[in-house]
Amino acid sequence: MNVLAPAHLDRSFTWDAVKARHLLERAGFGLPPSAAQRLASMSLTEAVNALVDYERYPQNMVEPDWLPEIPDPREERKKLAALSAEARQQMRRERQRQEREALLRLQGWWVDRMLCTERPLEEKMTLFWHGHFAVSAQKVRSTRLHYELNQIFRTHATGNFGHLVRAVGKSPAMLEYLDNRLNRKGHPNENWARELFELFTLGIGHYTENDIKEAARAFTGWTARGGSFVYDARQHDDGEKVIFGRVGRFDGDQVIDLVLQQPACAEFICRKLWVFFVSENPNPEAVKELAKTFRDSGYELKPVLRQMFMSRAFYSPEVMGSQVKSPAFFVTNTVGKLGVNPNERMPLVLLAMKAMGQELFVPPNVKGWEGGRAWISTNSLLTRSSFTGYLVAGVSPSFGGEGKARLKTLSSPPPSSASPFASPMMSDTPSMMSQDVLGSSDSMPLRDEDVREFLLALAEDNRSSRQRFRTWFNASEFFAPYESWSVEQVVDTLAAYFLSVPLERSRRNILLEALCEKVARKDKQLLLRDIPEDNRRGMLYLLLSSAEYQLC
Amino acid sequence: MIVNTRLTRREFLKMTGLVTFAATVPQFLVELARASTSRPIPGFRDDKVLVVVHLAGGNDGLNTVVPYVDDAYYRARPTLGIKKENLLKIDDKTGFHASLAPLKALYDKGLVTVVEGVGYPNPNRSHFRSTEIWYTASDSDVFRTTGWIGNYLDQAAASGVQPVAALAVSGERPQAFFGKRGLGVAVANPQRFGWQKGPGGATLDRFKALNNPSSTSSDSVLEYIRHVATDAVVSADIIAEVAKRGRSEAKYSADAFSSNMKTVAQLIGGDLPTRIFFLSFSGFDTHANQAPTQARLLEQFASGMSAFWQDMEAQGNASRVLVLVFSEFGRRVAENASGGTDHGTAEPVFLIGKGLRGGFAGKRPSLTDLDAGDLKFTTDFRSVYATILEAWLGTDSKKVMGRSFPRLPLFQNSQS
Repeated sequence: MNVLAPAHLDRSFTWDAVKARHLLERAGFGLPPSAAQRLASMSLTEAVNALVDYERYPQNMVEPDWLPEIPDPREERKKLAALSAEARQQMRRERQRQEREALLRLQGWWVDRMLCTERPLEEKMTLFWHGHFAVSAQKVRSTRLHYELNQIFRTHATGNFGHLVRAVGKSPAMLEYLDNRLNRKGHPNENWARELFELFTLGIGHYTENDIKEAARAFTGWTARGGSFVYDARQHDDGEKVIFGRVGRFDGDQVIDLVLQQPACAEFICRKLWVFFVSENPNPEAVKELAKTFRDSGYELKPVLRQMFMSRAFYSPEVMGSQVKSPAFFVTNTVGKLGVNPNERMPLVLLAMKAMGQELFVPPNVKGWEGGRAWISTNSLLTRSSFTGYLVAGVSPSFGGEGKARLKTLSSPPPSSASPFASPMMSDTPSMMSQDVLGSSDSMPLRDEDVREFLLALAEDNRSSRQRFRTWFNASEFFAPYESWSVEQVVDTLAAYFLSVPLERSRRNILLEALCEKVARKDKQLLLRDIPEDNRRGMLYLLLSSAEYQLC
Repeated sequence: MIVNTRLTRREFLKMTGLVTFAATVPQFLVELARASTSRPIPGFRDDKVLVVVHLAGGNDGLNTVVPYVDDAYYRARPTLGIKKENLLKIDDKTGFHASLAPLKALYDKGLVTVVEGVGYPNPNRSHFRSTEIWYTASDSDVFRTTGWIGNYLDQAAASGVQPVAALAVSGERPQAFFGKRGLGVAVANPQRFGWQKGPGGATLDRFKALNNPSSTSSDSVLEYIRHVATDAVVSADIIAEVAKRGRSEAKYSADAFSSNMKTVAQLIGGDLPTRIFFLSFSGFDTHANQAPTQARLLEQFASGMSAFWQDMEAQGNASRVLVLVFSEFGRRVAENASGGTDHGTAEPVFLIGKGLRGGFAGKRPSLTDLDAGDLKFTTDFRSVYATILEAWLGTDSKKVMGRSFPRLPLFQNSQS
């Protein structure tokens, strides 16, 4: 049986809320949680289409208007020349500060997109391309260039791969990151040409060292000035090149044509998509077949994604609940499921992601994030726990005192009359952040005391049970619907709500014990209302510290 | 716990009243203190420690250890070539990069051995693949899943070994640690490493029980995570204990490499039962405008290393510590047009420690007899590993790497 055969053709296949949640988690960030129910009420085909054909839903994007401008290089030189050495230094420092601040806002802006979008696949694919065409702010300092590249990823997220490669290759961010802006006739710089073949399109073994050297010559003249792509004909090496055995006076665009003609290209991208969306162990047959779809469609991504999300393999028991959550997923999904508004402490959310090993716009190197099991080390696992503990196990928020309330109340319940045309991904709560919370002065920029507080939390040693924080998770609201439930029901329901993997009985009983810690049973059925808030928080903290919770 | 009952060397010095002026304590007394407290690291036969430093990105070896009498060097590097007068002269044909002054001070004491021309056949110029080759000690066309340090631990560690037998000062566990037994942990900052107890019933015991592995295998991802959770908890206990006692007296700069070396010094000083420490120091991929970048990185490297060594001396641990410094490759002999250098092949490897012969080992590659613009390697990196495995860690290198490699005369007691 073909693993890519549409799942619903199989009589034994049932489309249900668990599978719908799986789709929502893999193709997006599992948010809002209630969307799984809505997807389950559709057919499999409709549900997959709702995710893949997302253009029918509004993008709801607030474009940043706070990105520092890129100065015109000539003007800049003039300006600098007029300044004293000290003033120049001062100006440079000021620029760096502005860029750092803008980067932080951009990171928060993207996290908000992941949380609030009605087009989760668009953001998930944008994240995929960010890891694929990795560019780091450690080298490329202009935040505006990162935003522009991010928009290229979003525009072509599920579009045509050929168009995407070309747009990325001409993006000033990539031209700077892989040094092609310095690649000149007679003085080739191979960095971009090498990674184009090795990491972006073909993979090792499908080109020679000589192909790289020749391709580097073909890309001479692709450069950037003042934040825009420039083709500098004088710096272009127009000579004859031999690439993949073909001879010609190739230029950069033609090299990309040649690359796309290589059979290895479609397989390389499809394998990577499979690893990202389906399983750490790519199924060679599935990859081959997806690659055929990819080539037949002229490198259109949607047919590939649709085939993948419809396939029997995608819903197989080995695949469901077997993926390690990326920090971006872990953080957004946790925050979304707890109904917490991250904007109040966005810098902390970003810091936590960084500590877990994924700082947006700062991938570790040009290969992007390794992903899969590599997300989990002794260090990152404890950091994940620290973050959830911080979210759910701090003291209740206090609203008085410190002048302006730092903790805004959670959003009021959603208007129940959702438009019939609304995306199933329409959030249950009004957008948490899009109302330009970023612009509000008390969340940005990064507040030192918040960071210090958070670091102290992480440093807190085991013996100290003193709680230093106002949590911004509202436990009473969160648990309110369950007050009259039995403790067993509560544990089972929360486990099912938070975990994509069934929890073994013995482990579930540990959570139950934790919930009922020091509560006298007196031979009656314990209900949640008998349980003090600390126990509820503690149980939730444990649940979110389980190995099961790391998976989706 | 084992560590609780052990005196650190520092505590011994303190007891014997030698600590107050550690710097002025005669070396023989420090050695004496060391000898009297010396006991094997749990799981191993002796107390030797190896610190592995990866200069990630491909350090330009030619501008690190400079053959300043070779005209070919200046011909290949008309702008990047470092003039003789700007070098730290080592001998009549070699100079260190000026940023390496603190390292040269160690060199002058005979503590540093430079192995030249280290590489491997059919070099791969991809960072990732070449790093993988160095981490797994494989041939260039062989893909291995386990690392050389993981293999070593699988092979050599006896009962009593702790997961912290190998420790990477990092958020990530390097592939070099991958092995069947899953030993080796990642710790970014020992000061904040541990599972924090929560309110109500969220106790550490429950966290452990909740994540207790059901089997010894880590085949499924779920079981893998449970093993990691267990290692984390076990290691956190030990590290918390050690971090409290481990001190460092030397002055370190604020950069990441120096502070990571300081962490290692503190953990060694506190007697963490660790055989191998691992650090990755990145930023060496200098395709453009190399000179200032490399100068800054080498300066951080040398000063961090020098402070670390001062600590080792003050702790009385210098004789039990060996440092290995490598990069996944060197860089192209000729400079490029962007004031940088592209990915290359062979490079000098540094070893720092007391039992070494010091000076230069291996053979300097020719700058004119090149392979497509790159140096031809003269020493296989696995010969360096083999020598360390046998002479320093006392194990059969063939069992670790699956093959024998010629040993190098790097150590004072070595025969060849």
